[in-house]
Amino acid sequence: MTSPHAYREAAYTPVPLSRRWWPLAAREATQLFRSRWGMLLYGLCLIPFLVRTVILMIVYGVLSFGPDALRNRLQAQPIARGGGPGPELDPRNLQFYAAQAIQPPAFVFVLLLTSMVVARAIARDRATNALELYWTRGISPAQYVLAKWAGGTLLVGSITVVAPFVLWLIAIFLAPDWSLLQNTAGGMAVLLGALALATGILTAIGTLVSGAATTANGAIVAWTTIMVGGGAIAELLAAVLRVPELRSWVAPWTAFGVVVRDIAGLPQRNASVVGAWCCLGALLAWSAWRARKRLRMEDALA
Amino acid sequence: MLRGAVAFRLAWGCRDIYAARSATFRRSMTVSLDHVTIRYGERTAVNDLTVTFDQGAIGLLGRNGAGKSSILKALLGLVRPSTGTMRFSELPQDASPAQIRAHVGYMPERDAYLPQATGFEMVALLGQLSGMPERDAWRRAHEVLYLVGLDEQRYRPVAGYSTGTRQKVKLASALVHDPKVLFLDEPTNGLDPAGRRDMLRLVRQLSRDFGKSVVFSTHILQDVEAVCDAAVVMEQGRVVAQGSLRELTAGGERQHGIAVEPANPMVQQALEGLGRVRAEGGNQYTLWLPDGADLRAVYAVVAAAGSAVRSLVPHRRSLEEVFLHAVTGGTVTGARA
Repeated sequence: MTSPHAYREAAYTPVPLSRRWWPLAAREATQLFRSRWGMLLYGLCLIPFLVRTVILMIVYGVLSFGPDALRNRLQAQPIARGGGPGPELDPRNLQFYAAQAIQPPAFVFVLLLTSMVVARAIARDRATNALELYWTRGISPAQYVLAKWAGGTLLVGSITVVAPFVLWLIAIFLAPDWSLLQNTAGGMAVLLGALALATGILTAIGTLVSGAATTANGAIVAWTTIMVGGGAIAELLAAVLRVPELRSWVAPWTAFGVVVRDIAGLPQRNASVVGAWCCLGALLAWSAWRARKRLRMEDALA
Repeated sequence: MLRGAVAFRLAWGCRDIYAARSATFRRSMTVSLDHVTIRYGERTAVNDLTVTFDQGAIGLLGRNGAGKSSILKALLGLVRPSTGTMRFSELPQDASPAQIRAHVGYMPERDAYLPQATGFEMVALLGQLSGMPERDAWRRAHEVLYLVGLDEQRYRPVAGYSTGTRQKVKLASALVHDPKVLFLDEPTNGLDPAGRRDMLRLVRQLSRDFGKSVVFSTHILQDVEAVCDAAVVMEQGRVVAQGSLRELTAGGERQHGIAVEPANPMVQQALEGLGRVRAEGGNQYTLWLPDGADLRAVYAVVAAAGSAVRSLVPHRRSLEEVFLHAVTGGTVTGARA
């Protein structure tokens, strides 16, 4: 503190209280890109998008590689009817875009992203006593949690919502005519809305689990246990009891997919929509109750 | 040409700053608590506390667990008092915690930082959360970081800073939104002697030259003596002494050093009629007079004994003596308890 600079008074027009949480949300959303590891992780999570972009290009003949048989099957018109690999690989079907975010391979990447960003969001601040710095500012604990959730949702949403949308845009421009746009625009809007809603619920659970955890590592373990453990228990119960619908009731990731498919009007088998909503709702309520207890000012700062 | 344009823009920007500055300069705020009790479950941290923090720097003294941090947290709205009222002058009685925090800069005692943030990012973000627009927060963050002595270090992650540097960043964070009141909780913790001296100098400057009200919570008495105009001494959640440092150190039995000429064995006997006396050898004595005693009587009795007073030097009590006396249950005369 040997600076020759003198203290000056600051003159500024204060930002309204209701908007002060936004810089924190923006920081949360871009946090991952501050390190090389974060960039690498995000790049990894884009793999499903890149794979589907390649499929899209093969289907529309932009790229021409791979075995002829596979190429011919992908390019069959329409794939589903002609014995192709299924609607999830047919760009003319909305399931092609939904699958990128809700199919089992996507689970790995979403789990990775939510574990490293969303589940650590609040627990990491607690570990460095940052809560005391944030809450003595112009934002309330509720706004703080809102900011953390919004930031996490923006980041995860860039993989689960924005990427399918970009893929769809690419498909429209690669398609030989505008029929794809005309046939899928309405359904795509609903699908994107469904993905955004389901992503919001998933990140809300993750953020609240983070708020309830004592340490950042503890939050990651808790979140992974919920997601992976829930899925494992669901598989076990479904196999033992021979009730496949149980997966929707117990596995959060399956519930996520069921909710998206239900809202977007996509076909699904062995799914319980009520069970999926109950699963996500119960997790949300439980994590909110736990976080509320742990995020009381007196307890968090005493 | 370009340099001229930049200089013009800076000057134009400063025009607004100085215009606003003349309106707000030297305004400060008084903080008062009236019969405040704070409990954490069964434990009472602060018990029926009534105290006023006037403008200037005020030391909040007390041993660990005396309730100092609880008072600061209650004033920030982080902890709700069980009973009593708190009031910031210039703010309405029912001001929300958010309204209060806009005028308060808080430097927490605990090591606190934003993970994965550089010093600059931390201060700028906290400025924005206090209501500053992004551009103002960025500019101001640079200013206050320079002020606390962080130059290039500001671009390094805070997690890698030394304890002393983190203290500086916390102080910069408390100052970034230009608050009227500063709550500094053990601000010199972890600082080396030079850093401590600079920190104290800055705090003194903020309170004396810029009219900030500073509540300086610490258990380091020398820091309070160096910075504060007044002090509040707390023990087990209660105020045991408060007043200006002059009042606190002047009260009670006053000690004087006396030299007489010529040396005279009758002098000690004569002085014993006024108070306690200790011969220091030769013609030197130490005399303890009761509070309010008339010093002219000293000259009179020494003259009556056949000598003259060559020097009469009052010794002020140190703040440490006041503190120890207060927290061990003694009454600090001259101070309001």
